[in-house]
Amino acid sequence: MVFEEIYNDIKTAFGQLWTFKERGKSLEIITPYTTTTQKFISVFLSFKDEEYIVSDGGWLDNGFYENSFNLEDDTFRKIAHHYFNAFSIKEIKGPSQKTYFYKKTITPIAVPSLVFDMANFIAAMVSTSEIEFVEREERETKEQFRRSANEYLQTVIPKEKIDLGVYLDEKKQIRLHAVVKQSSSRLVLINYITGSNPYFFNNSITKTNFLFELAEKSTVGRFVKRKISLIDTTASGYVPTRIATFINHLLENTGSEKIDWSEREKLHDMV
Amino acid sequence: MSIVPAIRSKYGFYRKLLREHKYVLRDTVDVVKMPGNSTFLEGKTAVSHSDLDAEITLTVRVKCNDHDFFRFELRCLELSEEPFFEFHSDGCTHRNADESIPLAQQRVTTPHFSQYNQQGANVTYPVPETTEDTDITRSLVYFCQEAKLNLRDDEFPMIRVLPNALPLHVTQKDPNSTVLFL
Repeated sequence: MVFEEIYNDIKTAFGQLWTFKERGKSLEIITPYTTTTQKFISVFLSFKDEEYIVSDGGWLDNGFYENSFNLEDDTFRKIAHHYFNAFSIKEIKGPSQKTYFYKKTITPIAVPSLVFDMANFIAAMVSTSEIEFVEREERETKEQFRRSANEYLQTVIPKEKIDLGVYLDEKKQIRLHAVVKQSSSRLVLINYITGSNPYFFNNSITKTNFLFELAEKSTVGRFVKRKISLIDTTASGYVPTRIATFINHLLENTGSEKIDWSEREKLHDMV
Repeated sequence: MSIVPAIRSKYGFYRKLLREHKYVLRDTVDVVKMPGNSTFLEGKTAVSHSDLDAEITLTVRVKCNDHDFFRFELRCLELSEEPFFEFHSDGCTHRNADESIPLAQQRVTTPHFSQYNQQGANVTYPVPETTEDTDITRSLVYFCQEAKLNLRDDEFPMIRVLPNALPLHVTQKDPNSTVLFL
């Protein structure tokens, strides 16, 4: 065999990259897969209720690989869904509303395949998140407002009644920033509107208009009792004279209401 | 981001910033909940350089649901938005992507320190096993020694995590433990 020595070196070197950390009842497996942020991917293996679980430990959504994770960005979301489907990844919200990505199996023989898929998936998501699909200022404006609004909603609405960044349909096409479950048959939809300039701000209004329309037509449409747009009055794109026409159309067309961020305490009475 | 062009182009300034003595201006850093950040608690204090007139900040970040998971970051905005020296107690493993180092030795698990080389590339190095410690105050002492940082009287600053709350040391070593994987 040609290059036998080098080939064997490669196999040994790759093999040596695997390592682990014991974490209570779980094992952190540090894999040889890396990202363009120069981080090695870890997956977390647990055994619960007769099933092996391989998760990302919530590290993707927490940004621990120096990555961003913003499904509000349309391009990033499309790519993310491609990978979710390609690797059959499941997701669930953890206690602090952070998403955990995972795969599970009942057969130990499948565990290496799950680790292989999860590591590939996480590496792809982290590296993709480094690409700037939208202007930085716009991305940061959206990200900042989403974080502030999420946090505010979590302080005024009991945890069990609110879902953040949730899909209303099985095809995962209609995604609202927040859904408040007042009871099993009363839903309040909340979408955030912001933008780093009036063009992006109006785009955000248009998108909300469209999402509220789709929500009405969805299978849960009949349970929707209120639709609220939370308007980022601190954004540099918030120029009342240039967005008024769009806002008025949104309110009239979808029968929704608006709350300005500067008067966010009004949300208290509405949900 | 593993390569920081700003550090490459101002490498002399960076070296001086890192290698020369710096003084923490407050003896206690209170780490508290920050609006808009549900992952980390945060505390900041100003740092002054013995020779340079640059604004330097020491940031202490502690994971809300795991107080053994913390980071210390020294930042100088005049240089770059990225911290110029860091310590991570836990979290992901870094790769020093350098073809002159055997592949297996490019891996650096946490706890580790991070600095930059002349090319502006992030170079991470492990904490010596003898100083590996989950205690945040003792870890800060190692960090300060490594970063040439102390108070005016050669003492080291103290950290108080959530000083106005009950003194509960929250830990979550196993991130899968609190999640119901349906």
